[in-house]
Amino acid sequence: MSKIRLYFNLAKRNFAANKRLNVPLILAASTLILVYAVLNSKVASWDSGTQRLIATLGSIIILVFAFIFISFARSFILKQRSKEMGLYATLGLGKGEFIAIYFIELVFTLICSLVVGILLALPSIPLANYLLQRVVDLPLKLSWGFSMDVVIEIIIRFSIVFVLGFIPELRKLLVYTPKQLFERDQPVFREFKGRPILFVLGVGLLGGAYYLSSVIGDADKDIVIGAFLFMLAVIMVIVGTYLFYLAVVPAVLKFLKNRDSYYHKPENFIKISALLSRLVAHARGLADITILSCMILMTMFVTIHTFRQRPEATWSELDDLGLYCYSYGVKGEEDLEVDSQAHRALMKEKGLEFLLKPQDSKKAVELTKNTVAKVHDIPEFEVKPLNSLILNAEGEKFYLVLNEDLNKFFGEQKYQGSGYFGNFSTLKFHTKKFAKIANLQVAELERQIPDSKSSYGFGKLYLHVPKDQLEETLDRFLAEGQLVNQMGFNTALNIVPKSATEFSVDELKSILGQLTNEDISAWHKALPGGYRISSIYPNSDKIDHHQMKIYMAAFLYLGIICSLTFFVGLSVISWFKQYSEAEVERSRVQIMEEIGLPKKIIRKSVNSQIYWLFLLPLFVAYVHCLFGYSYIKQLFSKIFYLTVDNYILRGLWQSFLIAAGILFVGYFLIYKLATKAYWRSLQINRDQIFVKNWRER
Amino acid sequence: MENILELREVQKDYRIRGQQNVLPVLRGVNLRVAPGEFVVIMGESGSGKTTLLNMVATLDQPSAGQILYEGSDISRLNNSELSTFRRQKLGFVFQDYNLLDQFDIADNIRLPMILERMESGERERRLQHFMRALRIENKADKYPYQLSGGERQRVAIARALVMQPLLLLADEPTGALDSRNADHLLELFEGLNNSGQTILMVTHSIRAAAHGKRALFLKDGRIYYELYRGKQSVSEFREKIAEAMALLDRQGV
Repeated sequence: MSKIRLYFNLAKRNFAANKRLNVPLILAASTLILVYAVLNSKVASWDSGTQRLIATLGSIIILVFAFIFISFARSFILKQRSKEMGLYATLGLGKGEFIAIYFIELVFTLICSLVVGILLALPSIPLANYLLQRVVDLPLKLSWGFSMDVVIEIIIRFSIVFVLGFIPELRKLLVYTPKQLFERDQPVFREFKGRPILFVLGVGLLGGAYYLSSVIGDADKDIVIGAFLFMLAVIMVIVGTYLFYLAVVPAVLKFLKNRDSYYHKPENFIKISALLSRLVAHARGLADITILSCMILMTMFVTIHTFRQRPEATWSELDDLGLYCYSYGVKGEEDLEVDSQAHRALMKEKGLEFLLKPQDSKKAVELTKNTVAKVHDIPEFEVKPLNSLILNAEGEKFYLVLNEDLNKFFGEQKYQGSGYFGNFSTLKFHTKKFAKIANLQVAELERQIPDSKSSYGFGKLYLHVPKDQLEETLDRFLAEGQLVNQMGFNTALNIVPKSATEFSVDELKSILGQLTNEDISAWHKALPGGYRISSIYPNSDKIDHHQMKIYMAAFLYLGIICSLTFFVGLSVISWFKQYSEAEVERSRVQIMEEIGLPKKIIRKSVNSQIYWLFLLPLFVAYVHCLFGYSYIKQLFSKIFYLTVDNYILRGLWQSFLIAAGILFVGYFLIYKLATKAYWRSLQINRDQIFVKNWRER
Repeated sequence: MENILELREVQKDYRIRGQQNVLPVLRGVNLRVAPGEFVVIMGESGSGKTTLLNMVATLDQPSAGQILYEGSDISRLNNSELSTFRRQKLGFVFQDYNLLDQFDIADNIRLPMILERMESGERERRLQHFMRALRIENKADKYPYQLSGGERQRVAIARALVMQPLLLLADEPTGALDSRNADHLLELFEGLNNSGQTILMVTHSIRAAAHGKRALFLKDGRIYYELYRGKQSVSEFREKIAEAMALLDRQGV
């Protein structure tokens, strides 16, 4: 038999014999492959830009974490099989030969993972696309979305991940002597030696991080500084978590151990000592699980809340603002660097008359209607003019509109008094300035002075006032120096098609592109003197709405994919950790049986240890995330447009609880499966206390 | 005086996985251990001595026959009662010490007493007594990995003795020790036996077996031969045992 065939046969046999170790790895890897495939499939409703962005971001995350988790699992498997390798080495198999066998096993694992992952992806991709489009209410366009290119890409990339993960294993195989390999799988007991410095550091870091998180949740904080502080808090939490398991919890257990009246009870005696030794041995694994749980919880929280509070959900509230419409905006520019008196005079000369005489805008409306009808054969549509004055308050912009105009627009006396309302077109980067402006209350004439930063985006904040308050409002702005530099106006000509016809962005641009110079000149003439058309742009809220849905779908996709990826990691680490603990625990349980410990106490002790070591990381993760909650709240309020009632923050707690609940359910499933495998590994069933013929094993 | 331990026609068969046949390991073993005896069971590997010890230790059950402790058949006890029996009546010393690595030395020795919910004063008194007797009193706060093989074995003996068992069972107790420590341990066993402790030891070492008072020779699941030490010295008894082993090898008795 040739050597290659020998290696192949040995590898095949080893692979089958170690299925208890290989199957969980294959399941984890194939889940990541499936998620990768779904992510890289083409979603028919998405534009290519969004598709590319999501696929790139998500792929990086999946591949990086796939490398981490698969390397972890393989490193664990290598350790478990060290004795076998030592035996091969002792029997005369060269290191190179064993590496070849082991590499062939790696290829088997890779092939199984790829096959399972790709097969699962075949029905999953159309299902995922369908669900996504349904959930976000995108137009349903199903496509297979899975091309041979993607399959080849998956094979290449995951092969690289597996091979890269093999390199650290290769180094270990080359370095260790047979004796070291024999001894490698033997658990080394490490006594807990008190580490007061680490204890203090751990408590300090966690306490400091919690304090930071609560402080940066303050809405006054600038978002950039807030982000920096939050990252600092995250780093402190990560380091603090490791120290928590390494020094803080063991110190507490040691304290309990020194309390004679508590410790020397049968139920506590074994439990406390066993927990202490496990914590020392597995501090890092427990910290990894805690941090992964935090990542899952926060990812799901942000994803769930953004989805629940997506504009789609709240659009029904804003529907009556006529957002399902198209408008051709005409923006005039005038650089007005004058003092306040002259400014006012100019406004009266140019702006107020325009507002007070809406009939001028009717001309523009007529022109637009004719223009549109000319270039695009659309059945009748309705035109509603809405005039608003753009006020630039030290670089920030909002729209001042009259109640009378608004009520005319809606055909009812909806707006009385003064107040604010928002218009959500797309995501807006919200600086603290807008928060200030949002607090502006014209009625009480209370205002904040915004700083000089500009905002970006397409959202609109409207301040509505009755006509008789208009001058007074403007006076106040002027008096406090808030009106500086540029001032413009917006003749928002909102066109509401009566039919269900939709315009795509391209169609709208095409319509505008077909306007002739004569059309534009005629449009100019309809405008008040001194103003020129500087730009004509399509500003369709329906298109924004559609785009918003795409962004929302993309965000949801990414959030789900990240959560799934982290969950796979959590499962891998938890499962293999339990498996290794069972190996150690087996010998202890045997000893306990032989020296006469009752079955009840053994089971109780083991169950208690499993229970505590499973629940503790989850509990700690919840505590971490509760402190992170206030920052996330700030993030939401800053990124998304604030309306008077801060709709984006509504239901934030519920979203957090939903995410926490999902994490708990998933974690509990992992706990149940891992515990079952743990007891199976201990080879103690319910009815028997003895491990029969254990010495003969 | 009633025997502490009695085996009557004890038989043990194993079914090999994947095969129909059974493998007989012990065939009709009869054995009595009187109070204060130091009995050694000898045999080569595969003779069934470990299987015999497992059953005496109530860790396994015979396929046929009876095992009686002070006249009572232990096969009638349920799992919980067997645990209690093992804890109260038997002491174990193993070849590989079998100390619990998460406990320090003092806690390893305390373990059976804590399970018995012994009053703390009595518990600590016994702990100190046996630690002194076995010369490990300065190792109380150490962990097993910090001790030598001989020290660990002494800890295991202390743990086995704290409950003042009816019978001390030892399975190749010197197997992992160097000759000096092994001799010390065997002298210790002799000392315990002279104090009245009944000991049943399983070994394949002639040197170890020579410290017993009675040696039984097991081969192919049967007791073939028995030797009493009487007034012989250890070295004389060792020679007798060696002769008996040679005879067994030649399959003539």
